[in-house]
Amino acid sequence: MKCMSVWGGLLLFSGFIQAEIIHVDTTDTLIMQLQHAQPYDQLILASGLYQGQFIVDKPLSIIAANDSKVIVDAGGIGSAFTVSVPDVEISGLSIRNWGNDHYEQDSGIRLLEGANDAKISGNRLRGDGFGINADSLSDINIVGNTIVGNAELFILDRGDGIYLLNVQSPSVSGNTISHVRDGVYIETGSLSRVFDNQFSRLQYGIHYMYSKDDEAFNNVSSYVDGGYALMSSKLIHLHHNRVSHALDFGVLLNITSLSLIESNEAEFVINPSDQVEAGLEGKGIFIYGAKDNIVWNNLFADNDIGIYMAMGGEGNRVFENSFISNQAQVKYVGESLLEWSYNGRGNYWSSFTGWSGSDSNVSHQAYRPNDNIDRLFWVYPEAKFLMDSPIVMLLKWAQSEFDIVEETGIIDSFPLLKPSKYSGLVRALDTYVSQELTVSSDGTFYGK
Amino acid sequence: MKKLICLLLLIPSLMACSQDTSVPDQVLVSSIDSHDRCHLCGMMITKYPGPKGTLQLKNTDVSPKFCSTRDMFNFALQPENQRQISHLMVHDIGTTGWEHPDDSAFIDATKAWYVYGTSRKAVMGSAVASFATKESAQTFAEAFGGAVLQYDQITLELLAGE
Repeated sequence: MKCMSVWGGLLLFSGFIQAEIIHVDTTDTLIMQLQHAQPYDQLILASGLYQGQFIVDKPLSIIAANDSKVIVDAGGIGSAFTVSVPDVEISGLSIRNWGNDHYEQDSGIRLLEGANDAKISGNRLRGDGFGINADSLSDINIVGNTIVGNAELFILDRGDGIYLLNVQSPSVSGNTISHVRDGVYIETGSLSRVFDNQFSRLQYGIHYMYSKDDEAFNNVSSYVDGGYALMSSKLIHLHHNRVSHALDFGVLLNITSLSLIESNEAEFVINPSDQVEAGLEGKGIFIYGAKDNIVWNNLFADNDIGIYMAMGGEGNRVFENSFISNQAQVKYVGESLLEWSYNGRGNYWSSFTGWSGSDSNVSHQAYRPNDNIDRLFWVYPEAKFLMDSPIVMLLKWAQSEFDIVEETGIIDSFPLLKPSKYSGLVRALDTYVSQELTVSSDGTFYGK
Repeated sequence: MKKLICLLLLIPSLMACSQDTSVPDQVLVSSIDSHDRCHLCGMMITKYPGPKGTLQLKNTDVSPKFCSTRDMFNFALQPENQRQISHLMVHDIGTTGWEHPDDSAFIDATKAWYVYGTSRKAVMGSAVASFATKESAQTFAEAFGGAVLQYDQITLELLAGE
């Protein structure tokens, strides 16, 4: 008898560790197997249309068969997949037509509390609500997915491409996301790694709220409202990202501290309106209510305004950046005089025509990207008609020669004579990488 | 040289004179809906809790709206914006809910009372809770902490935590 129970125990044990491969080819068998498969079984889906909202409440892999076209259609309501347990993999599927109830968090793939260590890779998602939505969990990998929202919805009525609320240590890489609200929205999280993603036709590429200890690099945002929005967050390392053709800002620092904004490129951030409202110019980087951050070695080129620092944003270090051909290189209307150089190195200004007395690439002739007269016109725009008048020119000359009134604004005591060559992406992104299903098995992982 | 400077410094006062003759501004009735975005930070406004603000710019129909009273002040107190504003409105959080303040509760921001440093969470940093009466501000401050302040006491230095 004793012998029998030991034998039975062994059988149970071996059943537990031996993952079975189960082939699925209809909606009914998928529902049945989601209920009856053993933990850690692999469900391999054959080509076909699978309709409904599917609940995953045991650790399973749900994977499209090689060279198949698996379509999962949620019928316009709820979420296509809802996962509530750890160690679930969903890969290679085409998921579409989920609901758009934001209160219910309708999503292509919804990861509930406890769905730790999920791997979501190489899927194509197209729908109205959230693409992938995760709440209160950790250590998930979201790799090489294509997420497309509904372009016909007003931008704020769409869900976010990837929405992470209270998520620790997520890795989000190689995804292509468009026509959603925010590409990646991170709230009250920490230790996220977001890299190699491409964002277009959406609000913000990456949007941090109340987050900390995060890193984002090698992402590209284009044709967006804003590239990278850091709000109420700290200890963010934003580096080697690109943003171009944004309307509002390339990078936004708002109530954010102890962050390093390094080697990014923001170009063609332009508000195309004929009559641009005050404060709504396109800004390479916009800093307000943020302090103790470092803005280093970035490129700001061809924007309405290279850097817009609102009063209250003075306590940040800005050096070795390149400001090239921005309509206004700097807008700062505050009442302090700010030194934008560090350790004898300032920034490169395409508008600076100084020279260096020695062989170094640093000029010792201080540069003022804006002066008191600029400030006067910012505060009194009604006087703009005087801007090119002889009296103003005379004043500008007099101020530069004699320091008539106390200086405010930006001074760069050591302007660089050559721009840095080292900003921008650290490796090229393949536009089509996320459409190849092979990415699902060997997508890039980082920091694990 | 001094004369030139004086002349230039006169420009603002000339402007001020010309503006005094303008028609008295209408008090705007504002509403914020789910499609409105914060004029300063660009975020959607109604998604987040706490009192909001809105203001009217002079010589234009534009009335920027803000995700928080805090961001409204962060905009309105900027030197380049101060002179462009005719009215500021904030939610009287004494008569409407914190999570989803109702726009019927908008009041003149310059006459409102404020509680700063409270434990209640709004968005974009510490809340600047706004009230129609000093009494309701004090009641709130006793319940959730913070200092009771008047409009003129809300400064960029205060918001920057200095």
